[in-house]
Amino acid sequence: MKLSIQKIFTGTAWKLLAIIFLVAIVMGIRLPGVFFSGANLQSMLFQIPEFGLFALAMSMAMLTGGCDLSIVSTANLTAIILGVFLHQTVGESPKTGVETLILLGAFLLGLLIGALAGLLNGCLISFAGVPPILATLGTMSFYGGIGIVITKGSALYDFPQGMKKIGNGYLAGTIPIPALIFIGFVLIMFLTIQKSSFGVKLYMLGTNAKAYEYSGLNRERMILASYGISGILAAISGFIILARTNTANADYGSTYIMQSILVCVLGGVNPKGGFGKVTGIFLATLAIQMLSSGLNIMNVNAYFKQFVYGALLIIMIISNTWDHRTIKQIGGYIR
Amino acid sequence: MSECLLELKGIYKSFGGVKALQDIYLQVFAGEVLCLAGENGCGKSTLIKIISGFYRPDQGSIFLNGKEHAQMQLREAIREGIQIVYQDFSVFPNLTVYENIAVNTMVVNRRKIVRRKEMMTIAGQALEKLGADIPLHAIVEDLSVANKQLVAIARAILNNAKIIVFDEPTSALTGKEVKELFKVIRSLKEQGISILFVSHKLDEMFDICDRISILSNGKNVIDGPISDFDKKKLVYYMTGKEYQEKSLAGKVQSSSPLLEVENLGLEGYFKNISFQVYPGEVLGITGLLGSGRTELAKAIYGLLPADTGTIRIEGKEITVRSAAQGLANHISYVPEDRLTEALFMEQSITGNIVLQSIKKVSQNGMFQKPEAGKQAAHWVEHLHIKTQEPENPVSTLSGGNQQKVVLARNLMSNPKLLILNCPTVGVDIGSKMEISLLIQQVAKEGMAVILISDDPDEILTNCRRFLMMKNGKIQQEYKSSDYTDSTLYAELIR
Repeated sequence: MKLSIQKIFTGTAWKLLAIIFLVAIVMGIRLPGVFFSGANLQSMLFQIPEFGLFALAMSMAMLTGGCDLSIVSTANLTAIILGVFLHQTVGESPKTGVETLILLGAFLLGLLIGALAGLLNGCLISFAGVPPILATLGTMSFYGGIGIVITKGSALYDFPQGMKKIGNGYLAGTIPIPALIFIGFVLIMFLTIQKSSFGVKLYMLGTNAKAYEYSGLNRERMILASYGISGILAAISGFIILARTNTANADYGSTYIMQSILVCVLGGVNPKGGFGKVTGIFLATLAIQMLSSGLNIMNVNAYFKQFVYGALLIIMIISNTWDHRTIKQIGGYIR
Repeated sequence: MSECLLELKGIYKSFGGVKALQDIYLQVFAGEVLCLAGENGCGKSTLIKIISGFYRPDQGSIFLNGKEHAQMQLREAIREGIQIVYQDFSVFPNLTVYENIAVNTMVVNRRKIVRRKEMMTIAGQALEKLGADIPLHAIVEDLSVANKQLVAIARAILNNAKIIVFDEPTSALTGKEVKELFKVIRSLKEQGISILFVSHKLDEMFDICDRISILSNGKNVIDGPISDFDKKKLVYYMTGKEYQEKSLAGKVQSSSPLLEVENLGLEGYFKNISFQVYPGEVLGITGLLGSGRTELAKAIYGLLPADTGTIRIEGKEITVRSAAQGLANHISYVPEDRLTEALFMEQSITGNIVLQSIKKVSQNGMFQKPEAGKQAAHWVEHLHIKTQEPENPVSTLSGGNQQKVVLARNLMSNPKLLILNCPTVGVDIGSKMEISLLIQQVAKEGMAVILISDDPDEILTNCRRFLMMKNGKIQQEYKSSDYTDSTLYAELIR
């Protein structure tokens, strides 16, 4: 009899697939020829990467048993610094060869900024012992503040053409480039969390941090690493935002914070830490996007959309809790 | 004998296809102390929960005061005078002593307004009945474990209790506190209250119980007056194995010490600690809670770095400022509290075992699941961990088997020095014996072992020599052959 909690959380994947199919069928019937049109599919693929990456970033923190409220601020700060960098280096129309090199440099610089922002979070949490929610609430304002100081409150815009191509271009004329970047990082994170020894250690740390330390493993290093990765993923989202919107703004997309928590929980990440899979988060991202696009096309009131998300979240949480309880009963009382 | 207060007949209970209880029969007479004994996982806890009305039995009947209760509810059980003092006491840590004691009475009487004076009177009377001297205004969180338990007992006797069930009441108490508790239990008995005493500690059973009923694998094994039994018989009925009493300790294998500790000190915990441990030796360190024994162990492992003195492994001085450094120096530590300090309860048995040696089951940073499974299966078999599926969470195991998972993890990392801090607390006798044998085996293979324990039996069985700690200092070195359980115990609390 195989009864690990991991197995049950794979149950989350089945539930999400069911939701995805259900939405697909309903939308296919209600909006024939519209929902499954190339244009709509492409527009969904443009919208997914930003909040999908935020969800992955959030999950890194949630798996340790914490959370990272500073992800959106980190993304915006990255976009702003990269914006300044691009303005300083290329202006609007550089030579193509140089431009590619500079864009690559910008991407790497973005990773660095994200890593630094995440490491600061990690330091506050592991060395200073600040609870994650407070530490990242603080850095959320802090990073946002730096952004505002740099931009003096207004948005930066007008970046090189290459940037626009990254944000709005297609591979082979069909698949949006941001979606490709997202898929790439989903794969990387899948390997990191679900297949590597780092991932095993991450799950363990999230389950019992004290036992982790007592086992002779380095708790601080692990927390630094996971918040660092969280920062990097947020920064990539920031890079995509900059490329797609062609602007950098200190207060872009603050609703993404709550939405990323929602996607994580929907995807089966345990808010207490220690459980959750990239596959689940990926499916939850798809489910939310399909729901959101479908409702948009049907011209559904924004408040009603909120209601649908909320209801979906509550149902999933209840269902996951029940799974947990069955496990506990079987696990706890029968020896 | 006097009248039968509680009678259970033909009780069956299963969870998800696994039979927890089968055809259980149990009688509790007025004014007796009945011991419900059995190894962890034998169904004791399930049976208690049926008596308390928390679970409904699948089959069978419960007679309370001669009346049948087919579907007993929690509230019904309380009204009929059944009270449970749980292992964790279920007190409100943030409230005062008197609030904790009187709260049930207030609720039962449907009071909506708090009358503190009345509550204090009620609480005062209850504590007086127990002969307990605890300030009524103290916050329960700040009390000692023993006093928290007294608060729970005081609350139990208030509601007209006829039967009080004690679920492993001594697991967190020191020897002295156990004696105090037994005094209270005897006085309750004199007041005509029946006690159902759930335990797996042999000495306690002989000390306090009139009658004993033994369960094994969810079935009745035997019951009868305690005078019909001796230690040997009890162990046999509980585990099906013969009881071993002779010392197991092996011989020292080398004249050069594996670990040398010199003048080790940590402000506020211990000072001037010096001793050696040799390969193949199991050195005992005994001492009461708060004697500095745990801090000393943590200092050697690196969790709580010492501020003076030196530690040498195989003659080489080492610095241990963190547990990771301890592990790197081939020191392994089995913590005192496996639930909070050692185990990842919801994670798989496999994960728990391989974690410390994860490099052995990884390639290029990628976790090799089949290899990890193989390793886990090896340890599960080697240490007789009772599970059908190593992928199940550790929480599905009984206490003894959970401890074996911790040991497997520590042994897999291949340490030279193994420090065990109270490895058999809350572990059933069968597993305790197995763990003792395991300790001897790893010592025989050349490991040096430090065994910290306040259980005289455990020290004398496993060690040839031992140290005693009091107030952060090592008193002197003792030879096990000079002591018996009771003389060592006397020395310990002196």
